[in-house]
Amino acid sequence: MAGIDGIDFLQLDMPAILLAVLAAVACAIPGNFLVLRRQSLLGDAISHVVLPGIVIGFLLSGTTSTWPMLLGAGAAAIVAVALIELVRRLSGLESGAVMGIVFTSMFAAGVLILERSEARNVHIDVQHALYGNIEGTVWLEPASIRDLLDPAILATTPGEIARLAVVVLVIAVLVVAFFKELRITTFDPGLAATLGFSPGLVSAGLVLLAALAAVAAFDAVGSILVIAMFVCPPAIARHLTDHLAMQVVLSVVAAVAAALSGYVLAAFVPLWLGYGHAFNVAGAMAVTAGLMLAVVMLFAPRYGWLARRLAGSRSAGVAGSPGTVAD
Amino acid sequence: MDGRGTSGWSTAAVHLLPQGDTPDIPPALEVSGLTVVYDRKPALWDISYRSPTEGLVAIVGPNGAGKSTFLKAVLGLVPRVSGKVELLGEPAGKVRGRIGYVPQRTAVDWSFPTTALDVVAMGLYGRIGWLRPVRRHHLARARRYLADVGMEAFADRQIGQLSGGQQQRVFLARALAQEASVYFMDEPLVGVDAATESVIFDILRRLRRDGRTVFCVHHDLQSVSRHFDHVLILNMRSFAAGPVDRVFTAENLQEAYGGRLAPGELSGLRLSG
Amino acid sequence: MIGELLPILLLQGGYNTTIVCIGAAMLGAASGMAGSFALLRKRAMVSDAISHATLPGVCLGFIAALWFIGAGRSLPFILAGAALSAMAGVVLVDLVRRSDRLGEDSAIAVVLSTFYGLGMVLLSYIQTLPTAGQAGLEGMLLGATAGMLRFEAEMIAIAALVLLVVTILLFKELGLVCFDPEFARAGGWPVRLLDLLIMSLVTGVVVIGLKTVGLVLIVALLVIPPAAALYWSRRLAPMVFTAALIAAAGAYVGAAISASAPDLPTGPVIVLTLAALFVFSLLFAPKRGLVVAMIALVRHRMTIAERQGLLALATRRSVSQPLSRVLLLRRGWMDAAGNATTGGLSQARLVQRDQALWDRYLLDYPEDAFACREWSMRFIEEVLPGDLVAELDRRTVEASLRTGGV
Repeated sequence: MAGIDGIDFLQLDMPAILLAVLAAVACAIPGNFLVLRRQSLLGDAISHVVLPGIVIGFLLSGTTSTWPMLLGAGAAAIVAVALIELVRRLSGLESGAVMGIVFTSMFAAGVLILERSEARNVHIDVQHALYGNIEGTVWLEPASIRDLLDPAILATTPGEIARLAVVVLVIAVLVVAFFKELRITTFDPGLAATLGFSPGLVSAGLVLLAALAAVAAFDAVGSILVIAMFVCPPAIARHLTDHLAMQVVLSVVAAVAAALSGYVLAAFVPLWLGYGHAFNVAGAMAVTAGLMLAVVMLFAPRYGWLARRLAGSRSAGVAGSPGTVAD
Repeated sequence: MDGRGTSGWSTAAVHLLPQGDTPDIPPALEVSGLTVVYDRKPALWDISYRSPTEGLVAIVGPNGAGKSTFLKAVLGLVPRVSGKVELLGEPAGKVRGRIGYVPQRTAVDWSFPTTALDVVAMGLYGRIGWLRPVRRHHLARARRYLADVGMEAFADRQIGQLSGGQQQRVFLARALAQEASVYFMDEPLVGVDAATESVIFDILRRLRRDGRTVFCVHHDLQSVSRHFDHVLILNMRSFAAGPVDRVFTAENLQEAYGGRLAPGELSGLRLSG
Repeated sequence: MIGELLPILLLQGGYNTTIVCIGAAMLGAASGMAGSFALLRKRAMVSDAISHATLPGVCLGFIAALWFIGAGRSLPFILAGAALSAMAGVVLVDLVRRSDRLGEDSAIAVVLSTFYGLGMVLLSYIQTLPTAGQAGLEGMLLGATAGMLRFEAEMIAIAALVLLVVTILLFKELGLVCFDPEFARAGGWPVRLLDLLIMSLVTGVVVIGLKTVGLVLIVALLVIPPAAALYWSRRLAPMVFTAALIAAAGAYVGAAISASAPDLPTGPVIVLTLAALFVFSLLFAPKRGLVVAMIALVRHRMTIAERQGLLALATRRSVSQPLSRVLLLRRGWMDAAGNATTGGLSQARLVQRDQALWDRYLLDYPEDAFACREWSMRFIEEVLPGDLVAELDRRTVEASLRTGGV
């Protein structure tokens, strides 16, 4: 590990990695259900409307401190989701198109307000919302690995890390607690309704959870990584298992792996190659997540392209399509 | 004119009272004035119907006659413009735990990451209730229901990798797991092989023996008189209803299907009257 | 601001501004048409993946231009790169979608985020290069027409015109694929190729729109106008041309407003103009607009309630629906005690006879009756031809004689 010394790693790299991993996990867990419900683009919509949210949050509070912005972003996410549902019901258009209409309009409004207001003189810019600022996270207090066990030093954990850790915990607890309800409303909303599990209520809860993850994560990692982590880890896991609980667990593993390898790719590889600058970390993580998915789609043991080709040449019946396996 | 509402449809309800019904046991299903509109077009018009207290009821009628819509409207899955629905003598919302529903097979995402056993266990969710997890003994119970339909060997198979008939059996096992008093099944016999068909009819007979009521949207007129006790002929309106031996007549069918049944088709049926 | 806007709208805001406005209008027309085909093919949001997938191409184009001509900020290089990487995105969305494990929505999100992530990595690389002139790339995000070179504005206008012409020439083929792909395939049409063509047109619009509207918002230009146009017509040609008109008007007015004052970025202004047009269409379009639809829905419910109420009166049952009671009372067909008045009784007889005819129609022509929107909604004579009604009347009388009648 030439060029990386221990203290730098502890104070600069470790907080960034921690942040990215937490953000990835926060998004990946609810992402499983969005992917199965064919609502992956909701993550896209939510992460785009975060911008108007933070602009309004700034204009109302007059400060660039974190909480007004997060509240603004959260409010914007809820407004966007409600608008999407409203327009979808009123218009009868397909939900993808409705999301496109709502999030582009809200994003446009956000940019316009930003350009027209004094907010542009302060440090809010569109790129920050899109790209995030993982690299900017530092934690100068720990001087050695042993310090990480020291309560006094742990108390100085950077706000965004602590916040994301809490969010991950909340999401994990809620998804475990409502796992049965999420499963049945996703698989068979009709049956869920007749059994008394309101599919509308559970979906609203799921969307709120996704919004919580997106809002907590965008500030640190940017919109694009949020979109990537909603979809790629669940999509990877979906190729590896037929059990829903296992899929959620594997998606978490995939999220962590994508975040770690993305960081290595962006921050360390250029240095090892003798290039003086690091690359954009969030972007590199999104790319690794996509590449991991590509590998899994090609080589997964059962549902990969290769396995299916081999199975297909052995027998005419292809696994995975209903009605082809005989009694 | 047993069970027939002729030109004066509106009086149908009076005739639909099954014979030998004891007044103190409420019918499994009672519908009055049910009207459902899809996209500003009538799909069901002013349907009044009173079912028996138990037994197997076939719901038949031509394509587009609103059979599935009828089930969904009764279960509150589609909004109704007017009308009253009572299940077991109570408003539908109150007896949810005692109602089982087997939707059409096409309505399901077959690549969903779930096994046959998981699907059957879903039938128990209503009994388990909000927030409480599925425990080992629930799964053991689900496994027994899977055995009832001859599918225990496939418990851990992902549902997309079962044949059409096997999938249907799994959904039937899920319905059994609901331990309901009244079942609504939407075309459970479509696209299944002979083996599965006989399993399904065995299960239906068992449910009848246990005093349950099963409403079954059914497309195969040939098997109605052999397997069902009662019939409801739907044609956007409740065309006729009552015991099979009195209502399932050549004349009724001929008329409900708009003369579209060929004489050959009719002669193959074991009809009454 | 208004004082400055008017001359621009009338094309008197200087040569560059005029070309930008005309170019935006043509871009709009092309996007309205290409977007219509994408929406009708239920692939509207693929444009979101396409637009985000341009970013790595933009960066690679910049790097290539730097390599070959020594200056990165070369629009032809950048747009060529954008087009190539966007088409790669289209192909990948299609490949991911084909595996049955993931839906198209996931395919779009995966391609979008992966490509954009790659673009961000490349951007961060470009930012470390010692060369000046990276500012042009930031403009691709949100669109900036201010400071556009004359040659660039002309190029965009011409490219938009070419796209428009290609779309019009292939109108019939594209329409066929959208309407009935199976039929088109059976008829020997190269459906996959035509699908690819639709996505290529979308890509063309996205690439040209980068400079004007920016890559985040170009999606709006492709999705909003066709969605709005669906409220004005459900027939293919009128719908596509309405979408083109809405998009052209929105883009033209938006570009003009943006040129009239500083701090009005072109993309957002165009998108908000389009959003306003969409909301207007959604609410007030004749026939399909919400206001008209709500009125029709209420009328429909009232028609049903009135008819069912009258039918109850005719058979001396009590009128149970509250809405029916209100309507009958107000018409004077029923008194407060729930009994039919004389006028009510004669009206009830009329409706009862009509219902008997409709029921006979249902029995004798079930499939036609299931498909008939007016079934039991109006008097049968107003809907069906006279000789058919007479025949139904005859059969009804026959049937009631046979069974002993009412």
